[in-house]
Amino acid sequence: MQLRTKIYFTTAAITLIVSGVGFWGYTALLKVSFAEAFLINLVIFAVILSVLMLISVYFTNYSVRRINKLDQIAKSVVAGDFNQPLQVEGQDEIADLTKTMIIMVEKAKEAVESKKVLEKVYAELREKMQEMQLNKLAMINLMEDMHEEEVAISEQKKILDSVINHMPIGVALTNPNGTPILVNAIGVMLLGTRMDPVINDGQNKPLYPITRIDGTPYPAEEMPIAIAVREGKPVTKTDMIIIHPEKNIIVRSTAVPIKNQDMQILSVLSVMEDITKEREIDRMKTEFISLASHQLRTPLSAIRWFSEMLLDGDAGELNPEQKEFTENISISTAHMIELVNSLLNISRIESGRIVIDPKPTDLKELVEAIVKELELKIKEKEHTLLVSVASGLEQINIDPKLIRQVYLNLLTNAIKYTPKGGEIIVMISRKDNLIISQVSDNGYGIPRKDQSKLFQKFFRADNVIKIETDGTGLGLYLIKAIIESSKGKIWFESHTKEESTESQKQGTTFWFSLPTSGMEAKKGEVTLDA
Amino acid sequence: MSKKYPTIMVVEDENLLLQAITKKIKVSNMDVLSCASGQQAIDYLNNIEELPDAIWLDYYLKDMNGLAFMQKLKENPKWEKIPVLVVSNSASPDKVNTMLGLGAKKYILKAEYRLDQIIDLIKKFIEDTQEVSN
Repeated sequence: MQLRTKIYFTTAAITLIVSGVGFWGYTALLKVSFAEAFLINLVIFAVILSVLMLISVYFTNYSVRRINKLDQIAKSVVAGDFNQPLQVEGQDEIADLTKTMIIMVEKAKEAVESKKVLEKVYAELREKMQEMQLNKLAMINLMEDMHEEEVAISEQKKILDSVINHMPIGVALTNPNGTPILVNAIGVMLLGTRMDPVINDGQNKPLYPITRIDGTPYPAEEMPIAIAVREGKPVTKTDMIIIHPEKNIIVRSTAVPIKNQDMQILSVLSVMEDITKEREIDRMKTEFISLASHQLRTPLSAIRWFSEMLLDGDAGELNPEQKEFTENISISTAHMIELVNSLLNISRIESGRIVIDPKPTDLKELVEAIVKELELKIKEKEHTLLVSVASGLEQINIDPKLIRQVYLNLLTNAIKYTPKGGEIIVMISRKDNLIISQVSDNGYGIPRKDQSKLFQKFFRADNVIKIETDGTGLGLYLIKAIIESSKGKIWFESHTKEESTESQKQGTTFWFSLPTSGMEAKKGEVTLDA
Repeated sequence: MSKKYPTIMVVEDENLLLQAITKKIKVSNMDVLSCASGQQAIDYLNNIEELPDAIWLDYYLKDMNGLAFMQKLKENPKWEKIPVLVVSNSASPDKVNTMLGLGAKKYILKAEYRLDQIIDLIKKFIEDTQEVSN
């Protein structure tokens, strides 16, 4: 404004001066008329005025352009662009304005930037808050779930506790060192209150003394729990006696180690079954069989002896038919006596009353003596028999009476269940800590369908019942019991004619193992065949 | 002492068995003293002039068991020397050991032997005893 005013004032002044001077000059110097001077003056005046006007327009336009530019920049700044070129030109009002604007833009820029920062912080905060809100919700959900689960678990635990507590068998969960964690009612009853985790007195052992089934002391380190912890595997069906003040309770115990993912044993589950009654019934059954069998011996002896005398002609000579009939009586009686003996032997083994009296025994001698006993039967059936005993086989500490029964039985079976002219082989050898005996024949074989039942009491395979009517079905049952009581094993492989192949020849092979350490001596009341 | 046949005392309370044994001993050319109870046998021993050469004893008697009978035999030094064969229905080790300990010569299971095998056993005992006393 100042500039424009200056221009106007200057222009007016110049115009006045020029026109005054001109007017004077024209009239005085050129001697023109006043009117002509006026006209010239008017022309000059008009020219100057036009020039001035042009200058003024120029200046005005220049200022307007700068102001427009400023205006545009200001608009851009308002729109958020702070990088507009703002340059101070000259020293006029616009320059001042520009300076002020530069400051303003700077301030605005700062303000906008700090607003942006604030907005960002605010956004972040909001985000965080949302997140926290979500977390809170999740926590609440989780807590609700946990509570529900807790309720469910506690209900399940109640059910489980109730199930465990009402089981008719003793259940005890202990630490590997035997400290009770959970013992059910029967368990507490069997072992004594010291095992009750609630009132445990910290002694970590059952209240009542425990012995082995034969009454000898039962060292803690040999009990199922200790063995299960030591060997890391279940120890099944170990019988023991728990001595209660009023009575002895026979318990069948199984201990199972419970491991974590790293196979560390966390606890041991013991299951105890009171088998006192079962044992008592079993004992009574055995006793009954024993008594009945003994009673049978008197009439059997009478039949045997009278038929013997008849056959001997002690009551006069018999005619051929009488003789034949009497012989039949005699054979049947012998068979019945054998049956009674087998029954008695089984009742003895089952009752556990049998004496085990190990002696250093030469198995070769034992087998040869049996073969001699069976010589007649072998000849009758024209079998060839081969006995092969590994050289240098040491004597083994076994009860010869019991093991004799095993060889005798296997050999008798081989002779009996092999058609005439068969081949029977006995082989005895040592493998690591075991003595393996093998009795094989090329006889009738055992049908595959019957093989699983072979060691059952009174079982006789289908194919031989018709061929050999004799036989109690007790022999293999008995020898299996003998071998197992000697910590050995018995197994077999057999193929009938129909089921045999090139590689699986017809016949039967039995193997049984005995530990080289031999049998453990056991006091008892009875022996076999007594 | 000149005696034609050896005499065997049989103590067996089962009548049929006693009959069979008596008959077999007789046909084996020996004399027999059949006793159906332990007490009858003791009475015989107390009253007869000549003691039997051997005793066949059933362990289970209705009036006494073999153990009591052996103890009674031991009470009399003369009776003690008579060889005794125990023939029984059962031969559990403790019974066998007790009877052998009390002086029985042998303890056998009834049903396992033929009569003539048992007679042979007794004959052998008698021979052994005579050798000792001669």
